[in-house]
Amino acid sequence: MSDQDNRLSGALDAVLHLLDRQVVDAEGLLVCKVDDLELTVFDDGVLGVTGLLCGSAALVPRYADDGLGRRLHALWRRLGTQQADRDDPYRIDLELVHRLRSGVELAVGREGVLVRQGERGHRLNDVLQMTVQDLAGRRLGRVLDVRLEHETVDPGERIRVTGLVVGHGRPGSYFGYDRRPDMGPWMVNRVVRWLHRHSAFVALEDLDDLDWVAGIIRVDPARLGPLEAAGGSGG
Amino acid sequence: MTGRAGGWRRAAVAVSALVSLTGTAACAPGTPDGDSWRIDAQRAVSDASSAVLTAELALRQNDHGRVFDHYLQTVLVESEKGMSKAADTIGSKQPPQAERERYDTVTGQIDEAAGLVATARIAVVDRESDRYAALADRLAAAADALQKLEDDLQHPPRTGG
Amino acid sequence: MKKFFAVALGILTAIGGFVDIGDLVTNAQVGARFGLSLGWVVLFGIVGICVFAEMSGRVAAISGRATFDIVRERLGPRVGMANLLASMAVTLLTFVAEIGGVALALQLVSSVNYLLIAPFVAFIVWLILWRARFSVMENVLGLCGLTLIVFAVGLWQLGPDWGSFTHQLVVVDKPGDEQWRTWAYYAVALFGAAMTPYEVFFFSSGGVEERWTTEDLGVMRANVFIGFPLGGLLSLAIAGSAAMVFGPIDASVDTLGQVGLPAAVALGKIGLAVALVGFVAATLGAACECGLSVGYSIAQYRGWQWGKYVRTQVAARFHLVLALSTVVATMVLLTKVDPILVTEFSVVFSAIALPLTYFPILVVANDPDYMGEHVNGRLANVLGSIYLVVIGVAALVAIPLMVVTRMGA
Repeated sequence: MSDQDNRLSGALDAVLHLLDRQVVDAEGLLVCKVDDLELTVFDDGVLGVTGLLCGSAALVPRYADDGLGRRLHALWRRLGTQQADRDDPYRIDLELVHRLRSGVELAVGREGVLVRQGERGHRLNDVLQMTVQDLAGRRLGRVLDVRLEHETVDPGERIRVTGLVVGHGRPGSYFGYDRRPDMGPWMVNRVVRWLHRHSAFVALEDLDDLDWVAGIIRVDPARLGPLEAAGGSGG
Repeated sequence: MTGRAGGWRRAAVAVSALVSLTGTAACAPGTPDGDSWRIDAQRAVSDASSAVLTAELALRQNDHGRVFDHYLQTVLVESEKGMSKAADTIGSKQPPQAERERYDTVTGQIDEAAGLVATARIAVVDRESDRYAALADRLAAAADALQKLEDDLQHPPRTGG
Repeated sequence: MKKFFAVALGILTAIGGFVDIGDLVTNAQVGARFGLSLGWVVLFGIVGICVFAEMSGRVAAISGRATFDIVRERLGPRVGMANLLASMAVTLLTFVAEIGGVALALQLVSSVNYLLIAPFVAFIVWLILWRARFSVMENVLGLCGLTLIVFAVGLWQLGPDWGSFTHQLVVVDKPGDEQWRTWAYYAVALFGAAMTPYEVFFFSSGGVEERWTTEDLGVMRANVFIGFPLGGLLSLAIAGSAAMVFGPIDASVDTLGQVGLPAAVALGKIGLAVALVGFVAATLGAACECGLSVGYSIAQYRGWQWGKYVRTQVAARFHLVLALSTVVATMVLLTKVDPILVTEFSVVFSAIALPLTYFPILVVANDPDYMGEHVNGRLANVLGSIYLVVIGVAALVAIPLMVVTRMGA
């Protein structure tokens, strides 16, 4: 997977570079969108991306940011109460991914590649909907993005979560301007960067607590650092 | 959380208000308010006069050999539809007291012109091309009258003759 | 030599394919009432669509991603869904108007009631979308649409006062008997008619359909920068000839038959026949583009295989959406709603939906991750930003103006 052209071989931002991207199979046919990412806690305590999640079971929960979205999610679940796997999304194992450019390119054909494999691990959406609080419980903001990095680990390789981008507002609406100071056009750049002037980066190990159940992340504000593009000046 | 829920309720109210506003935009509300009726009447007369003028123009072009039958027929049918739409629009609106007289004039003239357009349409469908010139002249006169009426409707009703 | 032929074909197709039912009706209406005093809006809109079509074409060529892929990626699934619903609603509305336009044009040719023709037209549209090769569809219908040049010829024949026309174009003013708010409403409508969102969906998806690469950028730019403006001039010719014929008698344009009348007045039966061929070709081409755009938007949001560049069986959901939208559009038409009224609504709502489409394109065209070295230059960004502001303003004032002027009555 180490390719000049392949984003997955370095550092990247999950929401900006990977989420909602088109998945393309080995012959160039379109498969699905990356509706969500599967996160697993490995044996050594590292949190990493292990699979792509697709389908309504992965997409509808992503609307549940606020009241309307939650009601939509509830409605969607009601429409399929008789299905045991209603909440079980289609899954593509990360091993099937060849590389990431403007879309996710798989190493295999698309026939039968989407499989329901039972809910395992967590989802990126769970992290994106978490509230970030300081040690006293005051709200600091929310998780806007998750920084990932490729690492080679015996016996293979994996994509680990290295940190979080924290700020006000919603993920997916910053277009990367907060991380790329020189991207044009000038007017949009200024406006978006002003709107998200409070965005900061915090390394995963600097987090005080990440509560999956309660959906709360606790961090000491002193640990929040300035935000830079993933992979430094990389393309 | 309540702030957000309240926000969505407000948004829903705003959206439905917008939708209903948009709906009423296409269908002009028929309030019997004096000026409102006058404006509606002006529009109806203007639409009617456009339809009559188009019919006349098309007939004259046929005399110059510039249009063919199917086209002429369709234009006349469209004009007729336009006339009946104008007649319906103003006929169904309640005129205020001060405008009763003009209401009669407006509906009368529009109906007369509509009948003329219908006659023209019948002549066209039956391909009675020798009648076209005469019909065109009558349409021109009707259009003239409608345009004078439209000018008159620029002003509020004159009280007492 | 072959390359020259390809470029010429592209340009001619772009000219003929530029005008749709919205342009036909709105330009004729405006010409009859306002002369060419709103002509500057058409010119302004043409520059706008050139800027954004080039951007979206470039994005498609470099990244292989079409507009709605980008909308979902940049705006996220929630805002992307809202965007999808709004864009689809507008495009479906336009689809209805276009099919209605073909039916009306065929009625003018045959005097068969357009309601009887409409299902037949819808069937033909579906057949083309299902079977015809993409490039064949584009080229044939685009070239046939070139016949609308008859309006330019006709305008010349009618011998207008060119000085007065130029004065109207250049000086921002309105005829004495009209109000500023009606003038503003029609400015927004003309703007929406010139910069229809489906045009951009279609153009970028078409770029992926035709497998554009970096080498095709030059041809694409020629098509956009030469073809679209010339197509826009056809719009002005329609407005001008309507002004010449309907202006003096003070009549307004409400039907497709009236749009064609100036061609008859200027050039007789031949001119009229050519104009009607142009109407059919332009609206049929636009109907196909709208239908495809509905399919493109949904498929690109959900990640389904789309396009005519693959076999029908491979893009099953896409073709199902196309068939369903054709059926829905036909059913709407069969409610006897006036297609011209639908057209008027569609151009105004197009103006409202513009920011949803253009903003993501502007952002992505600047993203080096996507575009590599082909990011927007200074000029594209300056123009893009200016248009973004104008588009935003137009979107905000569209509905209030529509209500206040009772749809430009």
